[in-house]
Amino acid sequence: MTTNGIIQILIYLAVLTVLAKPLGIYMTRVYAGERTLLSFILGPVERLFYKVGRVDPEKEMTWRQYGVAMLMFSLVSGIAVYAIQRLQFFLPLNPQQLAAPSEHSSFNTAVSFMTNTNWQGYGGETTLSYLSQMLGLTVQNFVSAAVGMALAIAFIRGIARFQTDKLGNFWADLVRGTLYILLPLSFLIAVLLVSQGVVQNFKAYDTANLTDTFVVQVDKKDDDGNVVTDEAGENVKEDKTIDTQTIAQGPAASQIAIKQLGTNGGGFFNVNSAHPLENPTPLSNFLEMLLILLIPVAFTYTLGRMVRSQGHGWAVYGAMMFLLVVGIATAYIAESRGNPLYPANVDQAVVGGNYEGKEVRLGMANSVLWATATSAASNGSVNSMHDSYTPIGGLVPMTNILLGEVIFGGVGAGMYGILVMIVLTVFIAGLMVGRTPEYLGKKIEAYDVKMAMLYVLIFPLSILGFTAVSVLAPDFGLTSLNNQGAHGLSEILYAFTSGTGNNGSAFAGLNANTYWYNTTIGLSMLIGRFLMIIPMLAIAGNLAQKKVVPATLGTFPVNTVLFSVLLVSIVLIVGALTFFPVLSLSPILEHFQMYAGQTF
Amino acid sequence: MRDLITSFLMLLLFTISLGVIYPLAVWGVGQAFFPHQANGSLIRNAQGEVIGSELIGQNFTSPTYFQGRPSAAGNGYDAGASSGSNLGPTSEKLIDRVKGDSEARAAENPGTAIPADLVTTSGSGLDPHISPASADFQVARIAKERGIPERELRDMVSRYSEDRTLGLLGEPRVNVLMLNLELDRRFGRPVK
Amino acid sequence: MKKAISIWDANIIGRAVADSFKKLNPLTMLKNPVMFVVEVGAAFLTVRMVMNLVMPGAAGNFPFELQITLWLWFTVLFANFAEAMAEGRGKAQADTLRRSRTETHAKLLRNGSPEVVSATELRLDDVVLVEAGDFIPGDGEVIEGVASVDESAITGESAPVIREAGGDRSAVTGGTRVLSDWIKVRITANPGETFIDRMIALVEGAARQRTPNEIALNILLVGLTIVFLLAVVTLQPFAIYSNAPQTLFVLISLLVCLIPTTIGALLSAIGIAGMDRLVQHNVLAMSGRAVEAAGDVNTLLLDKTGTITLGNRQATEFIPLTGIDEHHLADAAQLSSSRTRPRKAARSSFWRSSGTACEAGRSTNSRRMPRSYRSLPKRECPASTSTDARSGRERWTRSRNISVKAVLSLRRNCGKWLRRSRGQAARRLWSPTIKRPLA
Repeated sequence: MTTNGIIQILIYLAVLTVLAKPLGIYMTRVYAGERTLLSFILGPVERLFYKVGRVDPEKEMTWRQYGVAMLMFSLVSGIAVYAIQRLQFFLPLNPQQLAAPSEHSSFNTAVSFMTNTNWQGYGGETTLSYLSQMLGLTVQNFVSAAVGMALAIAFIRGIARFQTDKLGNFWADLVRGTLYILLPLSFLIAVLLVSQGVVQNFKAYDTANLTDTFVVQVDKKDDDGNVVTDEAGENVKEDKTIDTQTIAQGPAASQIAIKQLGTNGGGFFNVNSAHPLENPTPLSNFLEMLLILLIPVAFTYTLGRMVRSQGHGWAVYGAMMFLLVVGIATAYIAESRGNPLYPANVDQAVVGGNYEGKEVRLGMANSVLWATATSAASNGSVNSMHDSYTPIGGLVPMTNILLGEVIFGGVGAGMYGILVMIVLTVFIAGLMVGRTPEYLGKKIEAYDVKMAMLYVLIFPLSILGFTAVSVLAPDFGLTSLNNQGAHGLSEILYAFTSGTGNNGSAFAGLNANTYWYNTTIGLSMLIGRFLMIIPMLAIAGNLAQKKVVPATLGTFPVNTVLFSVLLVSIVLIVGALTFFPVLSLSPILEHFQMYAGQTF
Repeated sequence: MRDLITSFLMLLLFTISLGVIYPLAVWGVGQAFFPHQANGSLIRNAQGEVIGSELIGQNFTSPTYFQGRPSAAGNGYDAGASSGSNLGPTSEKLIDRVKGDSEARAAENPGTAIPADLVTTSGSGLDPHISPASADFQVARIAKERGIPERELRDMVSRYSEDRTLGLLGEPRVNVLMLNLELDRRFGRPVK
Repeated sequence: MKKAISIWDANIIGRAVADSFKKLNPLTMLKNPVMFVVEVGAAFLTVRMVMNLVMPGAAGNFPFELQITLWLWFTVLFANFAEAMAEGRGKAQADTLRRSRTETHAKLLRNGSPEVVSATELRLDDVVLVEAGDFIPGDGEVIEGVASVDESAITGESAPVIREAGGDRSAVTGGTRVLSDWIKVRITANPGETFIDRMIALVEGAARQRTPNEIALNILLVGLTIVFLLAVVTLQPFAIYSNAPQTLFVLISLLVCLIPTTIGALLSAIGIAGMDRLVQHNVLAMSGRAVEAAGDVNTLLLDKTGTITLGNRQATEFIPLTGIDEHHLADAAQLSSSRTRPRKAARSSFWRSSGTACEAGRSTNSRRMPRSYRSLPKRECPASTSTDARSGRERWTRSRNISVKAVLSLRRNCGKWLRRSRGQAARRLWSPTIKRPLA
């Protein structure tokens, strides 16, 4: 750990906190339908949307109607992305003439972008044409984020309102979130990113003549294109001189801005924001990193404002920030210690620690900060390769997701996730005090607890279930591993964790572009998104109908440090206890093996 | 059913506005105000051919050039197929590779310990930079190979070093491609 | 509702130990899912341990396995024991109630002439004759006659009430006693369904319903149990992958450690204990919801401002005002206690007997009042100019030259004094309308 590293992290957290209030206030006003300074330009566009969609924004919906509208929209989106991919060869803007990805890959990508996961089992610049990225992926980046935000706002309305069964209009929330919040910020950031060197063009890939040519061994191919093998069955190698470099291009900046802002994470290029054309300078890195947590942090302010208890919003912020800082510190310390298995004449300290899979311009502090932030926020973009992190360093992103993506979490998804945990916390706290539990004046009853437990249960069911099956299948489960031993288990576990948590980052060594993994990870994403949204909406609808009981001496206050501590404890206990057994067999085991000098 | 139609119409509008208008708007502004950056920060030689990008690294193996980091992208610095190694810290493949690379570097540049970035692959495989320590590490070798005084070389290196942005963000770094191009410009291209 | 029963009573413990084995029945355990899981785990392990012993070639670490299995069985039994202990107190109370319900005889009117039968033979719509001195054999309705009835056993009301045919005072409860005159009662409840029977059932806990918070907490526990069950079940594939498959003993032990065993074991015991605690204070909780509602209460509005009555009251001391003979006072008190307005009579009788009214203005230190009272000088009180709306009290206070303010202050302090007094008699205060002790 270096002083400069700590300063960089502190600056980041400070800027984030300072921006929470203005953005939080702005978001409250947007979702309440009030006029803001952008209403002048975007108001007519908004009204156009309502007119074409034949939607009345004043007509409010019950929780069931809201859920159905959301599901229909997601279904249509998923089908659209699937279609665009399968037809991409025939569609324009495909300068590299890329063929359609396989059905399972297309399914996976469609589900992935529609659920705000942006898990990419494919490599961007080798698989998808510019049009697919623009029409399919960029659009979904916007709308899936807006869907998440709308759901969170619906939940907050459920808490704030009383004796009503209406949670708002889904279409209005969707349109307003996209037009007033996501679009302006994305445009601004995209232009800033272009100024830093992120590409935004539609030309074909460039070919550069190399200054220093080099020779590699490649498989010898005969005239038909088949690989030549010798008597022993080994591939025959021949020398090949490499003297050119293909430089991928594309309309990246526009996608990257929304990828970060909407906690999507699906990068334009294969290595996401480690790619120099996706994240060229430390300033672009700072901006992209800021966007990861910007809206989730602002949501805590919005929560406080909408329920008219700003202290509550800050208490939630405090709980989440604590977990975030613990994660950053752990990862930073672990990575700074370097890899003990390297030979003695390699100086790891001069660069800051374990440098495999990291970029020089970004450095150690920015890499661990990004890794922690992205996994806390269900973003999933990376600027360093998580697969190459030390075991404890890699444990931090994994744990962040396993805690349920409630450390600020995804846009909207993190907010309703933490609200479900708050319901449980308030319930337990109320029982400890000996009174009927109540949250902001509403009594928590058996139905709410049932739905909250359903929400809590589905998450590990998907992760542990799929991982267990994959681990027992040598043919289709274990063949995709890039690393053996405990690290291999980490790869598979992380894949399903990321899918169910709708995160999208990966221990990228796992070859997930197989039939098995594309399908199961796709299913885990659907489960993690929709099967968890339904209990959440049920709680919201139920809360909205309750009467408000005035606060008395015995009410458990939700704007105190005690509440934050209790919330953190419940999140840790429920998450850690569930996953500690499996974590002890992957990162923790690997940590001890590494220090014992074992390699696999 | 109504929701289905509304979904379709909404998606259509979103696709047009967000999938077409928005990227085009960014492209327009980008090409108007930052054409160099928007098109990949390409470097051209005297004949106008593209010889690389300021932001993308290249593979340098000859002893007369500053060498960059190892790369797992394609055959090495393949900017059409970016990739990291994704090898875990206990991977035998990784440790063997690092051992091999460190021995090779130590052989070429005898003396001090090897800075870790020279034996580790970058996340993208296209990292254009090395740490100032790595550049320093190689100065002795290049001075000998090209017959240049070390002090002049160090001056050049420090001129092509970038500091932290605003003194705070990022890390100090040296752009290998730019440094090597400058080497060629000043001291001539070595015969292969 | 007699004295508190100690929890370490040998009978209760003995019964609880027996019950804890009886409760091992899986169908009973199913009501408590967390402990059911532990029981199933213990059963699995027992079978496995025996198999490891008996089958040739099966490797097993017998001391370890035996220990684990025994621990699990002990956990289950302890949970049952805790629940049985909690129920035991209630059962002991119920037994006491049953004993106090004397075996009554009824004068059944068949074809007009009374026939003596046991109270348990009475059925719905039978008509019985109850005369002065008899216990009413069962819940019923007065169809003929009028009598004064002592309902203290049920309601704690000190003075007798009038029960007559027709109107809203025709319902009588089994177990109460007729003091004067006679009534004919039509039985409206079969034996076993009477008020006392229901009270016994409630106290016993047999018909105990789960409180709403208990239900919610149970859902939480079941949810957590499923989650941890999942975590342990999927652990074995990971262990196999890591070349370290675990034995059933380790897995089940891990499971029992993870699931909320303690809360699951004690939850029902806590619920029962809560209700029993109230019974110790002579409060019957009619349902779990009532208990929880009581816990949420922080402001109690009573429509009676301090009615003080003694069940089957006794005067412990007569303190006459200046110039009045103590014996005269006692006679007057006794005579007036059977007036038609019993509540008021009780009140006025007591006030008269303590007579501190003339200490108006001085805050009577209620705790020391009985002993030190005699030493306090008694002085003439000024004539009152009461503006109290209650005409009866007005008349009374004016006639006795006692100021209303003093009377009110007395009433307030008496309550406090009685609450803090250690006397057994003072403890058993009943407010007739609320059926709940004020202390």
